[in-house]
Amino acid sequence: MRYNFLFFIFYFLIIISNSVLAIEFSPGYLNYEMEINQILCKNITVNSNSDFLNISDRWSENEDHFKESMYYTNTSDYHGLSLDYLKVIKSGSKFSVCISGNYSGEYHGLLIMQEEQVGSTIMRGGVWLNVSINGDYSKPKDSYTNIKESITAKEAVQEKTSENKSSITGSVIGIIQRNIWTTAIIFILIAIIAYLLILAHNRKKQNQFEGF
Amino acid sequence: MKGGMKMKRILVLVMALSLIIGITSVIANPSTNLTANVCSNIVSATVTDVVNFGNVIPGKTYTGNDIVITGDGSTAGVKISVDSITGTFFTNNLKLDGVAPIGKFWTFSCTSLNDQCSCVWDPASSSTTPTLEVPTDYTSTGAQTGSIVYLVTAI
Repeated sequence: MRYNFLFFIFYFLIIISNSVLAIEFSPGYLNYEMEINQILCKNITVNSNSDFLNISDRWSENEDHFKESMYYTNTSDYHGLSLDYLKVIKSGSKFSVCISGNYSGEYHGLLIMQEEQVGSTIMRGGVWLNVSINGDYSKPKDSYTNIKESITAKEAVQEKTSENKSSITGSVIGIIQRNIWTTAIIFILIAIIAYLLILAHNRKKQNQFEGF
Repeated sequence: MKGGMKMKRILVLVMALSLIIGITSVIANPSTNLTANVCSNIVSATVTDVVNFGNVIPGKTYTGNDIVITGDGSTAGVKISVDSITGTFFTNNLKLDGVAPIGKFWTFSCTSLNDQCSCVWDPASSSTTPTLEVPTDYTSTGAQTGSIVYLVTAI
């Protein structure tokens, strides 16, 4: 009986020693709707067993193999796209992916976050990048060196909007709370004004009385 | 004295009025109370590791431990595919469920649970059996290392 128990413990230890690799990221898609040479940045959050992750990107040649990762073999240069992101990131961090394009069109890419190898496994998280660039074909106007500095206010607002999507509940409840507070403040102000009026009246009356 | 009483009455009246106005403005607020909880679009997956074939002899086929794959933690459908195999020995000779591994994939569709940012998975998990077919004419000896590279994407 005792040996059976020891065997069970040993077997259990063998089973749990097979490590489980995990990766988690959000969101699964990033959509970029923009004009030629406009720079748009969006954020990705990633969690992993690995301390650090290597970031890269690859693109499909056309829409024929949309979301078939095997066919995403081109570089962004192939489509005249410029991407800016950190090449190595720490697990648990949020990082920004900025894209600009020289030519109008629809482009489909995959941003890959690769974990360090553990045992015989490497995990990659892939975020689908859907880029739509409006406008006429044109030559590149600017170099891509000042990406972060030249993000327009419109883009910043778009980014902020997408970040705040998860806080709809909070903002709605906030409106009701604001109404209550406004009412309370009005009530207190009216009470203070009424009290001051009474004080002024009493003082005036007292002065009149002393005058007599 | 009479004036003081009058002022007190005015004060009480003003306070009562303001209270009524305040309560009415809250109760009769025309805005509709809309609430929603937007779940994050999380893509997540787990894969069990350790495929050790031990000592192998040319001309024979070896089976490793089953690899278990899940989409646990996601709030949307997940696809897990084999993106590549590293190590020439394994690139040429490894099979998953008897077929070439590159391009093989498993999908997990998500049925959202009401009021919860989580899924009921279909299937709950998948497993695949790795096999190593060592060619008869394979001449190299010694330890061989390689890896299976999985790609996790949203469906």
